[in-house]
Amino acid sequence: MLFAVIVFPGSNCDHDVYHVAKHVLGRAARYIWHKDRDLRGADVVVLPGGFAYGDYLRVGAIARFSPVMEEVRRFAQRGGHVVGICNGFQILLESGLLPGAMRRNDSLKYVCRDVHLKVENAMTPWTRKYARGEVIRIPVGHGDGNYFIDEEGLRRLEGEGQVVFRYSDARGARGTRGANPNGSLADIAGITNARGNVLGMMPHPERLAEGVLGGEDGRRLFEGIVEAIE
Amino acid sequence: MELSESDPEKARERLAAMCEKLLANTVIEEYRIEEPA
Repeated sequence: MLFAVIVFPGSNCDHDVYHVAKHVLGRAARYIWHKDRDLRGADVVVLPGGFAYGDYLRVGAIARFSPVMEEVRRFAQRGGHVVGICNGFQILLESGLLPGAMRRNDSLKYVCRDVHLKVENAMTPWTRKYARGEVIRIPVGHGDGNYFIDEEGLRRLEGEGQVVFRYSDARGARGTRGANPNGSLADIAGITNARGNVLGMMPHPERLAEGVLGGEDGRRLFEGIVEAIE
Repeated sequence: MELSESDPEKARERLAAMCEKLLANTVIEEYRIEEPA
C-alpha cells in the first residue's frame, strides 16, 4: 500500500500528509516531484495543500499543466484513488477531474481555523470510517475556498451523493453564523467525482490526525482509504 | 496580448484557445477579445 504525495513548487502540506501516511498509518509513502511522469505503482495519490506556482493567475491554474497531472488523470480514469486537499482540491477543479470552481473567500480574507464538517455521504471509500450525519472537526487554511458550480451541476452533485462534507456548526446545523468559513455554495466543503474515487476537500484532515496535535477526526479519512484498498 | 500572427482570424482563434485553456476559468469567468483600433 503506497501513498504518492505529489510535490509542486509551492506545496507546503506535503510533509504533513507523508507523516500521516508513513508514521501514523504505518504505510509506505513517497514524494513524487511534479515533473515526474511515473507514479511508481502508487495506490493512493495525494495532491497536498500549499500554493502551487504561487497561486499565480488563479489557484491551481498552472499546476494542472504539470507533467505529473497527465499521469494522475490516467490513474483516476482507471479508478485509482486521488485526494486533493485545499490547494490540491483547487488543482483538481482546474484540471477538470472534479466539477466546479473556486472563488476568493466571501470575506476576502485568508481564513485559518478549525471548522465543523457534517459528513453527508459515508459510503465513499474515503468516508467509510465516518457515520452519515456525524460532525467532525478539521482545520481550514485558505484564501480561495468559496466553492461554486452552476445550478445544473449542483443538482447533479446533490443527486449523486457527491457532496461528502458540508460546513456546519458543532451540532451539524447549517446556516449558523460563522459555520461556513468562505461562502461556499450549499456549504460545500468536499466533493467526489461521480465514481467516488476522486475526492477534493478544502479542510486539512492531515492536520488533525493525532491526539497530540489536538484532534483525531482527520485520521479516519486516511484509515478509510487504507481499509478500502487493502 | 501581442501575437506574431498576420492573419487576424488566426490570431483570434489562438487567443480564444488560450482563454479557454488557461487565461479564463469559464465556470466563473467570462472573456472577450477586442482588437486594437
